[in-house]
Amino acid sequence: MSVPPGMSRRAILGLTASALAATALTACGGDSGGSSAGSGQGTLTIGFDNEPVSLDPALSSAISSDRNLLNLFYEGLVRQEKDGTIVPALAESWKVDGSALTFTLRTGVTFHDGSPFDADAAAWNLKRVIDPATRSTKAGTLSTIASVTVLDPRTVRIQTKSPDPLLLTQLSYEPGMMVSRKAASAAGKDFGRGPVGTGPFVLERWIAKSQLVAKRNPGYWRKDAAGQALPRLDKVVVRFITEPKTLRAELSTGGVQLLRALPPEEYTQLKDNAQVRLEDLGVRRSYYLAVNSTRAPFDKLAPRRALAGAIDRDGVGQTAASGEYDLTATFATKADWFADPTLPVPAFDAAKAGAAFAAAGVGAGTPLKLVVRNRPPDPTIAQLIQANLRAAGLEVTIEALQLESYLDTLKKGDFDLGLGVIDVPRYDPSLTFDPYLSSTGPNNFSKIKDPELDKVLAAGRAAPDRKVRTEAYTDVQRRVLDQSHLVFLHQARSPVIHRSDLSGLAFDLDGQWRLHEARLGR
Amino acid sequence: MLTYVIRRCLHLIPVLLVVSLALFVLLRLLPGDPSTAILGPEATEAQRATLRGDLGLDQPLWQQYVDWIAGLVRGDLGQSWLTREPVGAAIADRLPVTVELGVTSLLLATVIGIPAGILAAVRARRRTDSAVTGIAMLLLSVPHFYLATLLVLLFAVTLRWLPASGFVAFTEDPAGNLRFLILPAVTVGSTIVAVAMRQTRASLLATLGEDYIRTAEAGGLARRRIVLVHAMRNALAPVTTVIALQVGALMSATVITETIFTLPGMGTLIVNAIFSRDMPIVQGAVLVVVAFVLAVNLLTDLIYAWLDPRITY
Amino acid sequence: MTLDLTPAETPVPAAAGTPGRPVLRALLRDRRALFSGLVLVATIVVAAVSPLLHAAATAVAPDRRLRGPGADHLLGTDELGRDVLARMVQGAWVTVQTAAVAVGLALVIGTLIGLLAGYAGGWADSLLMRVIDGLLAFPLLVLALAVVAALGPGLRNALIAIAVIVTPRIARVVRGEVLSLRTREWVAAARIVGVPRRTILLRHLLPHLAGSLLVFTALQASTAIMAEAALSFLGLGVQPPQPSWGAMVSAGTEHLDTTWALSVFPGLAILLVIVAFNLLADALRDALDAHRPQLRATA
Repeated sequence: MSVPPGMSRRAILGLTASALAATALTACGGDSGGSSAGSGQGTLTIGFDNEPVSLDPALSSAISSDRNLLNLFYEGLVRQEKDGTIVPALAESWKVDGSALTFTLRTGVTFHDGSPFDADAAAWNLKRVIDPATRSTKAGTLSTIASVTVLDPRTVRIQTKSPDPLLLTQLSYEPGMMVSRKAASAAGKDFGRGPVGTGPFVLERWIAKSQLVAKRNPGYWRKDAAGQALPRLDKVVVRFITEPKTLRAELSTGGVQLLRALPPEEYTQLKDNAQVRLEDLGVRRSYYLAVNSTRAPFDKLAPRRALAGAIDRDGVGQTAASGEYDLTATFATKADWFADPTLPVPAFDAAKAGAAFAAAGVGAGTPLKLVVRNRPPDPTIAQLIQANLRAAGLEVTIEALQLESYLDTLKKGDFDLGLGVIDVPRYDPSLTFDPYLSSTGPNNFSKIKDPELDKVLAAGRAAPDRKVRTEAYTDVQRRVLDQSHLVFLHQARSPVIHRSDLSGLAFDLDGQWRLHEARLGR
Repeated sequence: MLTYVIRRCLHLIPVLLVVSLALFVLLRLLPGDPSTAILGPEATEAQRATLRGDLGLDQPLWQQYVDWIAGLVRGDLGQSWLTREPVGAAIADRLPVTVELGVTSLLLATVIGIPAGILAAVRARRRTDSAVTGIAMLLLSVPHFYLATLLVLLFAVTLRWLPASGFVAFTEDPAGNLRFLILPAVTVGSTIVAVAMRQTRASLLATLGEDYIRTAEAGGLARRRIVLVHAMRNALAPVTTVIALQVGALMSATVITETIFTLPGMGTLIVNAIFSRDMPIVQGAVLVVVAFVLAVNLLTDLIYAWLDPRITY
Repeated sequence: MTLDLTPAETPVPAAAGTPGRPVLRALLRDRRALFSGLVLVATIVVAAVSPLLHAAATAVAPDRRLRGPGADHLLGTDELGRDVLARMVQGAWVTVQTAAVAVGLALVIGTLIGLLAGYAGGWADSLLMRVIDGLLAFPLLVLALAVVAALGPGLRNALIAIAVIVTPRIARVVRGEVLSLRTREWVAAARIVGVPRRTILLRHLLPHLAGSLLVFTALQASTAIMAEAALSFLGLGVQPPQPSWGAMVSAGTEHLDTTWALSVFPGLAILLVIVAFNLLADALRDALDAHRPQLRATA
């Protein structure tokens, strides 16, 4: 799409001022409850470190961070609340009947370009994600769908090959986001630069590496609890800033009012600032070591177990996460429903680990190659691990690489240990565990080939009942700990950070924000 | 003269071909491909393979190279693998920032470097001269990333006068634009200031020793007039040449400086594209930079030849 | 007319004739040369004793991290509690290697290429010069970045990348010198009496351009050290925990607001060594200029 020429800051201020005036007028005129115009609350400026490549939900490449922006423009048929329950969105209700899932759609909803949202649009969207020609990064998540049928203008039925208990959850996120067929067909490959959905905001312009401006969607269907029109903000300005120090400085001076995340070293400096709120939603950056099980010495169980006890997780957390961390047994956070507090975090004992290595035939001075990403604090963590392992008698060489080379090395298996990090929780445990632990997982860097583990992973994925799933995922975690295929390190806390005069934030289960009810000021 | 100009221009074609080939081969040696940036770090191998097919990466290398060159000849730089943006448009977006940075640095060099050089020459072998010469030596020697770090430490972290990084377009906020540009421009300009100072001093000293200047002095012309009008006129040619020859180094300097100050110019475009393996962008942008440097070098040679009657063809 | 020289781009005016003893005497009287000699010798000595401080430079102690300069740790400690001074001493070794290995490699290969191209002339010369012009037009760091990204990070590959940057510069200067010397009567005479080409190149031409090559090499040493530091600054040079001055400046920028010493002192070390090489080049050139018959303009 063509980006409109630069709008001056004065023009933005002018717009804001007129919107504020409009608000004042509305307020004077008494309760205009439900009017769809003129309930603006000014401009929210966001500092965002991870600019999306595409704002086409079907092509989104980030694991989750793109959704902070996708949520401005798009919605799905359903939505998952922070506690995991599924609630209506563009569908008013739905019915599960074995392998059939029937949605009754909301009426009177239109896309930003004025085209109507109806059963045809919903069916077209689902088929679009599945169609191999779309090259959707989300196609795999909907692979159980056999057919999508329009029953009438407000009813659409999905038939799956077999019952898929995860389908509703998947449809709450990127795979189920509804885009305008008219706009997508017209823009073709360029649709990702000009998002058109049914969401609370409409794209105004997006200047790569600089900023994205979204304005209020006056025709948004959703009302707040008091019946007032949403969204409350007039405008959302997303400034793409990659430097954590700059992000922190901008937030403390009020240049931006909301941040996605900051490293602990930066946000601990904001704790005493009364103007700033750190909201811990349970999001953690979970560090781990992938242990290459295809080469000596870690192709054997005993050295892997020795490794698990050789690393001082607290020392790493204190230094690399400024003490802002949890110790957990696996990728599960303390608040996850599938977390099992009885699973032990391997105890750190350098002397014992050294003896265990020796007993396992891993002699003193055995060389190991540790691959890390070349961005803070990963090299620091790598050097702490190097020091830990030296105490246990192993000689670690560090290779700090840029992302592409790093992933390439991990996939090719030319390493002994690989330091990595994932953001948890994800919106389903299968998304957290399968890519890293399943023998066919794309990020099975440890090269695990464990039929036992594959079996319990499949059980966790397939069971509809949460209790059964909890048991399955406890088995998964127990198995991976027992086999020491991965060494789980600390989980650094990653709170959402915003100015204290920003309220009304809502969040996805994995901590990505939704701004339809956000407001500025008291 | 004309045939010389034409011959020199024709020489550029093989040079550019060599550059394009070297660039292409070098970039294909990099490990990894753009699939991570486009599909995300957890894409499956099947998805990656499909993407490589879509991008034509499954074709033989020579075919990819020929396609690229054929596109270039048609004036088509290709499309970004990542954003699908035309490479020409991406460059057009970023070039103004780098040009602004470069021009500001050159301006600094001229405004500070040449007068300081004159001062040093006039006061040759006195304290002012030693001070200017010493400063020039420091500026010439300081690595750009270190100078940038010191400037950030002083003006952003300690004094809080200027931002440590970031950018806003001139059209959007002229004053803000200058605030963001000052530290990078001083960083890039440091070398050129030093070069201008040293060359001005050396050329002026040489000229001041020539007979006609001595004659003028003996004839009673004011010293100031002699230096500024008569001597400087002759000293200016080598100064201009040496500053122009710095354009190549200047383009190199913008790469690391833009990275440090996160300016959205050609340098960050190239570096980010190398890291995300967005080859069409790297190829296009580097080729544009190289062609620009070659053109400036050629122009410098021609102007120098034109200014200096001793050179024949 | 003289053309003042800049480290990176301009070829050095030729020092014709043999330099030898008078030049050395002039250098010994030059304060700039003495200063740079002192700095360079000191750097080499420090690099030589660096293994003694290896333990102090790599001992991780998070409980004393990010201390400012003080009595226990003269220049403070880094983000892992390691002594900054001890790490700077280790870094000297990287710098010495850069100057010796990368520049040495470039000097040998560049001189050979330049000699051959200049003496052979014809299409071989044309082809080589096109390649060299092309390489020289690359933004220096982009070339290094691509080479290191292709080979993988690490000191060895960084040194190769730097040699790739420096080689064409040296080749071009040598070729220019050979071209001008080739037409001299004594070269023609040697050729006519049947002196083998290799002898002419190595015994007759090489000594004549040794002086200017020396000046240019000193300048290239500073370019090389700057490039190594820049590559390490971008995380593509030496790998942790091995310190290099550039990598230390880079790591220190993370803590600029609290522990400024982390970046400032290693950077000063880089600056000092580069100044030393540049001053040495200046002094050397002046000494050579003073001891040759006439100045020649370079165009």
